Amino acid sequence: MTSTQVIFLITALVTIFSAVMVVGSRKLFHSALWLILSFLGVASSFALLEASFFAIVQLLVYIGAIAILIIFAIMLTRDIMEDEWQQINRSWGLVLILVITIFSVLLGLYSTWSGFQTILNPLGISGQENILAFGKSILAPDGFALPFEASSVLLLAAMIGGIYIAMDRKQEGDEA
Amino acid sequence: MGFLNFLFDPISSISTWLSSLLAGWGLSNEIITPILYLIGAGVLGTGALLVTLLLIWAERKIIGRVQDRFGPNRVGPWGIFQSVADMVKIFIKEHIIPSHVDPIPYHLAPILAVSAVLLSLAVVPLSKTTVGTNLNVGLLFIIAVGGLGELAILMAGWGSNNKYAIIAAFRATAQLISYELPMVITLIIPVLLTGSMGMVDLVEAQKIPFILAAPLAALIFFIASIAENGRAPFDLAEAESELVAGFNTEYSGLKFGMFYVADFLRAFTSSIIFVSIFLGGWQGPWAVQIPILGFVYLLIKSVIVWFVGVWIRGSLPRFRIDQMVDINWKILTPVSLILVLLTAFIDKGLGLSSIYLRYIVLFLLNIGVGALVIQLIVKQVKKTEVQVDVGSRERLVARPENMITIHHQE
Amino acid sequence: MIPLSWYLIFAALLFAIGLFGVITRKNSVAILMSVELMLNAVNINFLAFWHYHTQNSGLPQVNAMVFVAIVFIAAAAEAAVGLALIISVYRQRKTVVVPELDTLKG
Repeated sequence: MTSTQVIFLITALVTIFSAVMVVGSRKLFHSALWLILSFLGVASSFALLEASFFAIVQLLVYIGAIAILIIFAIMLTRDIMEDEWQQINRSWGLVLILVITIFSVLLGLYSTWSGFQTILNPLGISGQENILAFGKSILAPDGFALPFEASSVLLLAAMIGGIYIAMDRKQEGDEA
Repeated sequence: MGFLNFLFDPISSISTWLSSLLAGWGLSNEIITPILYLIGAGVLGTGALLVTLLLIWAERKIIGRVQDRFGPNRVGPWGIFQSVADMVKIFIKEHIIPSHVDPIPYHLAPILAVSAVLLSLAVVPLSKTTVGTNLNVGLLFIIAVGGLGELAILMAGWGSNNKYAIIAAFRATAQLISYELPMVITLIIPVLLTGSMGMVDLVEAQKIPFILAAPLAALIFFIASIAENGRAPFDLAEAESELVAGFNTEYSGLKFGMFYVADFLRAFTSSIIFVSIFLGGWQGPWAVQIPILGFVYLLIKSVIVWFVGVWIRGSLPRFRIDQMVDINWKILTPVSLILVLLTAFIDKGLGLSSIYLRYIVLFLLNIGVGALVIQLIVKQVKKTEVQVDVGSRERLVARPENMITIHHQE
Repeated sequence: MIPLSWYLIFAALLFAIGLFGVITRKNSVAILMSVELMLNAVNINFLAFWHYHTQNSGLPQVNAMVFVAIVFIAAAAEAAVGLALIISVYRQRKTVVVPELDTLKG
């Protein structure tokens, strides 16, 4: 085992454990903290894949924005579910079987593929070159300009929609 | 000659000497590199924290002078050991842990707050030869690490089990998140001019500092970074004369000290970052030949920028919360968006090959946009200003609608 | 150095855990968190295959990166709208627990 393999195994174990805690934790705020830890683990696995740009964007978008939004939402909707309550459905046993089935079907499908055991070696391409190619492709008309523009429209729509939905109309009525 | 080399570039000399020493012990390269990184990180972190002691003293002294007081003047000459005395006091203070705290967030938050500040130093080039890691997305890394600080604040607020702490955490995080926006947008301009997001490339591209090509962007970035640091005039998060102190209300002893240190250190690291992005970092005369000189230049420039920050802190009154929000969403963010668009179009559209011509055009563009914005603001303020005669019974109340938003007085 | 299979198994496990959370958790914020876990798993898969293809061809490959970027954007949009919906529902019904939101039940 090389040191990179050890690093990968450690981050993977931490990530999986914290993902389990996200789903299993009774306190919602603790779930969110475990979620942040698993985001960090995923970011470091991106870094191991030599996608350092996406590792940093993962930090920026998931931890800097989405996790904070989730924590805000948890705090704004607090005291809804007592921590002692049953946090998951009664039918969780069935779901567990379903999930394990899906997981093993995925593994079975993977193992029929010949490239499954490929060793991923360090790339001979610098990160700078990769980002450059990526940036040019999302702005090239024969590349991904259209999906990129569409996703920016999606973001704008989400922003407007979020503001509209969460706006407190009652207060407005009071003033008028 | 060897001695001269050591004098000119001590840090890389020491690191080559250390790595050859470790290789002499029979360690493989795979182990030596992490060890050197660890030593480097330790030295950098300790150095930064020690510098903070001096910074705290200097800041208290400067603020004292601004406010016509002496500042610390008892311990040692000019009170220079005041922060050491404070540190010793904070070390031996009792740790008071309030009942029903949420232990993990409560204890983790101060550590996260300090480490979020220290982490951003990892990608800043300290001289031509010395940089923690030459990450090709270093600029993004700095912004991303800033997000960890917000997390620390939220964790402190939640973990303390105190409603004032949690409200203060909300207030602080809302401010930090909203001011991240103009900050990130203005950072696109240096990236446009360099063609890279790596901090090393960014500094090396600044034979002429970027502040001359983008003065307005630098100003917006500076204002946003003051707000990110939560210092006056943006210190609404813990306005000590008006509110319960803030998210760190329930902390005492060393944990409070860590928040305190993180606060002062962030002011200095953000000025180092400002210098690296807009003022040419270690660049200066003979900095390439004698790398240690570059480090000195970086420190001098950072201290100047930091001093301007302290000066502003001492001089300006605190904004009201609606003014804070207005400045961000109505002025800084739209202006920075327009500036990025104009810079990109003009820089690419003209395609100037001469670097001087390019700088002059961009400088004029920035000044033009700035003048336009100032004119618009003045017009808006004139429209909303309420005239009250000196002797009249009418008394103006300091309400939001009396200041900057439109209000039609009958 | 690391086999591709490890990444794929890791991502599949993360996906499965996220799926379990989405179906079983009662609190809608927790459901959103589990969805984020699933999206992360998808991104790991994309980037692992990106590495595999770049290694095979020796040239920078962009397709997977574009997909990952779009997943990021979708995740951000989903979190914003989802949390806005949750807060709006909380204002109207004073609850965010999914089994209690049963207005459509006859």
